[in-house]
Amino acid sequence: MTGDFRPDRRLVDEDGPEDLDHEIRFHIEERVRRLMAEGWEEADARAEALRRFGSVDQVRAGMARQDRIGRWMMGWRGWFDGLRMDLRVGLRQWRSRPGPGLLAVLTLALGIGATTAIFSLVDGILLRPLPYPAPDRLAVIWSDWTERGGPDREWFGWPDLYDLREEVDAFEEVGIWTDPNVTVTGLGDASQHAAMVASVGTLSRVFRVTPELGRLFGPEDDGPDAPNHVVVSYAFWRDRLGADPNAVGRAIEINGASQLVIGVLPEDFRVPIGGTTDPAVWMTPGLAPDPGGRGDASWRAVARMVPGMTIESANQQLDAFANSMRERWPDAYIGKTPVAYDMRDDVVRSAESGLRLVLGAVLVVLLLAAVNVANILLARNTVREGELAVRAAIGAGRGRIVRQLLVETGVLAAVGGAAGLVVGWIGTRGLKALAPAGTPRIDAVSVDPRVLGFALLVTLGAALVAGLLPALRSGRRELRDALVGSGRDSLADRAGLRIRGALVVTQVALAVTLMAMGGVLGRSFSALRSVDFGFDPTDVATFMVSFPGETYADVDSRAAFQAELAERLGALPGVRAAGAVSSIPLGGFDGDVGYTVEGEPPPEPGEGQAVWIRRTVPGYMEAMDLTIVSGRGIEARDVRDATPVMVINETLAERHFANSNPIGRRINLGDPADPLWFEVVGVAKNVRNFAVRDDFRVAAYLSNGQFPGRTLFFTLEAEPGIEPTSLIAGARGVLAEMDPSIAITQPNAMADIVSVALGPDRFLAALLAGFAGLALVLAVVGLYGVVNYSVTARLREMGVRMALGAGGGRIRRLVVARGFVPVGIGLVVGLGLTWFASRLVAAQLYGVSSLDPVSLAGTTVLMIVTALTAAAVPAIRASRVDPIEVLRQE
Amino acid sequence: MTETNLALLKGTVDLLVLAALDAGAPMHGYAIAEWIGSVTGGALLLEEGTLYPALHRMRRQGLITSEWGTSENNRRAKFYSLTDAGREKHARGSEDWTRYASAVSAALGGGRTA
Repeated sequence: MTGDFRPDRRLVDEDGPEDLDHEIRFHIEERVRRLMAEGWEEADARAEALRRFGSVDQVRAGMARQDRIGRWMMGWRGWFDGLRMDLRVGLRQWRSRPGPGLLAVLTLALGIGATTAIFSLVDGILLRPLPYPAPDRLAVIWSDWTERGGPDREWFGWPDLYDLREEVDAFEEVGIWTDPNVTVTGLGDASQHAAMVASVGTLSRVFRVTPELGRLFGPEDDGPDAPNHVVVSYAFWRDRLGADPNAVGRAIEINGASQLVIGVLPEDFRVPIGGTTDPAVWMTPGLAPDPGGRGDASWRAVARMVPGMTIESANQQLDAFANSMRERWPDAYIGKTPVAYDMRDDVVRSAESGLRLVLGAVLVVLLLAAVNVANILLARNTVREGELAVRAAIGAGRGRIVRQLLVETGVLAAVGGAAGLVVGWIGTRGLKALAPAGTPRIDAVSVDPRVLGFALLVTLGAALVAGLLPALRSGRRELRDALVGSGRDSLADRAGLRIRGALVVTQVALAVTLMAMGGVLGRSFSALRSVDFGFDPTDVATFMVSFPGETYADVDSRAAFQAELAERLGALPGVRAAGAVSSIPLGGFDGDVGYTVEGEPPPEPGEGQAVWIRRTVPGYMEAMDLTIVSGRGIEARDVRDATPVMVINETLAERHFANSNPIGRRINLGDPADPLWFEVVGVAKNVRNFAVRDDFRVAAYLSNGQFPGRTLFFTLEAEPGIEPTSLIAGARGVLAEMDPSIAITQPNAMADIVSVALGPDRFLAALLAGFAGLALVLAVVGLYGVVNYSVTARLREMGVRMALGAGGGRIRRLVVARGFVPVGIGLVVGLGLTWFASRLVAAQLYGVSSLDPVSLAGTTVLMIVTALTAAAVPAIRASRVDPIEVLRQE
Repeated sequence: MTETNLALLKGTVDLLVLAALDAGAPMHGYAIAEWIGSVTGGALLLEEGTLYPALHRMRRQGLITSEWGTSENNRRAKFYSLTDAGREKHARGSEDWTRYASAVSAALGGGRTA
């Protein structure tokens, strides 16, 4: 080893200053000799030699500078050599006892990874601005119908666009749209696409899109005489137009009419709200400003506010606007108020509360991870205090020791951080894949470097503090104490144990809180899943068909076509029952109309009552196993020239016919002055049509044979043992035979639609359960570490106790009891925290109380059992101590 | 010394020292100064003292080594000789210098006529 300390000959000047003097003197003497040989006088020669040599002082200074640089370089080289050695020692340290190191790395990886993944999700969905120019001026406008007993977010009628534009100064432009399905023909097979029929300025002035090719709609595209122009999406251009660079100017056939492509949208453009985020074609409605339809609700509204406008001021203007509308058209507008919301807030509304909850949970996990790493390092380095004290005594400076510990902790932190990065990346991708369908802005989610930095900072900061603690204490500690006290119950050890006991209390408390939350959300989800939906999704396949254009303009032939289609679908092999409905439960488009009951006084204006309507083709109720409570369902005899019939739901029946028989009574769906009467022929059991946790609204079924829709969802119930979606191929064949110009869209298993509707709840429950599990593991690891360490530190005490006659059982009980103290405290604190935290989850729950006793009891039992197990392992070790061995080691 | 003597360009001293030592036998500082004076015909103005910090630095860089020995008139003197690294540096340095010098002369000569 001596070779390591041999000075580098190149770096150290082996010559002293007198050697340099000699060298200079020699040079000058030689020069003088030479000059004298050439005939110079000695005095002149000496003067000339000195002149030629230049300043001797400068030469000396130059040499000294060279030496300083050399010494400095050697210093750094030595420092780096030392660092390399520290690194080697550090790695050896971790390798020799890999347990704590692996635990710390795993903890870091999980803590950093989970935090990064969740924060990235939250950032992408909730926090990032919308991807449009000046996004803070974008607003969504809803029509609030709560005053008339309707929903708080309704749509508008077409004429409202013009009124909003003309009369509300807050908006620079208002865009309204509706999103039908269209059939495109003439490009290979007929295909159905989501389309957007939007007012002219929606793309250019509200979203301010720059087209990829061509142009957007301009003023000439407005009004009833507008030419047939379309703008297509990038995906449509790429997939259906073969990415044709000359696509602008091409004609395509939509719903049987020729349309000229005038522009292509950029690839990344998406509509932020609504079911259709990437419609294939955009068209203008070609409507006059007021073609009728006041009070209608089939158009969704967005707006760009003028610069400097706030949502609050915009809403004040909208209130005034609503008042003036109510005066002009009381029937259409009483009880309706347009309300503007910041577009981003409105877009993320559905995801917000759940995400905030998850964010809170992951912060708790991060905290637990930081505490755990601190705990592991603290335990490990306390054991090494003796070693460090010895090193300090034989001359290692404080700086050296701090560096050694920093390097060791740094190695751990680097490995843990890298692993965390990987976990975060995988986690983010996993979350994106698992996120429930319809999660807003999920495309925008990506690993955020700021977030990763934050998680790294928190956990690594904890690691460094804990890693350095022994170094800071080693200064205060005498060598004798450290050597004699090592492995004993010294005062310093007690202080360390107290700190670590407090850490365990924190961990247990946080874990208990998360477990209780996870438990209650899990119970809520299982309650939701076993809810009676009022229909049976088993073995049912569904798909949508639109009946567009002139071909299906005639009501009678449309009804006949739809009835025949359902009949032929029912005759397919493997189909047990087939029917159709205008809106599928949990996945369709719903509409409601005002109604009056014969014999009851009509409601006051402003207290309108509305019923949600579904048109059905017979066979629907059989396929979905809907229950008719009394009377009959919709049948094939309910055709156009028969009496209009209605099957009401239980809610409607209870509201109006609580004490009478509804069968045979009449309900009007028309203007009270010009009634359109329907005879109630049956009462159907309530169905969860709108959402899994919705209240049952007033609803009724009409006969599609009497009032045929433009869009129907067909439902096929498969024979038992047949995969329901396998029936769709046959259905396609039937439709192609009957009309090759229309296509099937949205093919689904009904069970999948239910599963998607449960998605957000499942996602939230699964995430919380995952975090609760993680928290439990981290807390148990922390507890195990502390108990295990205290056993190591007190082996001698155990030995003495046993030598004095204590049995193994007694020792075990002692260790477990001591270990359990922080668990007990943590449990109590955690249950207290749960009481506060439970308010945060209350809004997410279904069918369970936020302080659900089953979840709380389960959490408590689980915590106690795992804690006892964690303490039992070191306790058994302690009880097997050989007293002779322990005492001899002294 | 006359007015036509040129001040040495930075870095040239190192190259000249390497050239002097590449000639063969170990040389002391004074001999190196003499060699430079004679081969350049006194055209380069070398303040002889500046040789010594240069020698010191080059030794640290591992281009040359030094050893105490006896001069031709029997006096104690420090002798310098090239290391392999020094020889390589000399070869590369000469080549670079020649390219550099010819490029500069080409530019000066050509610039006037063009």
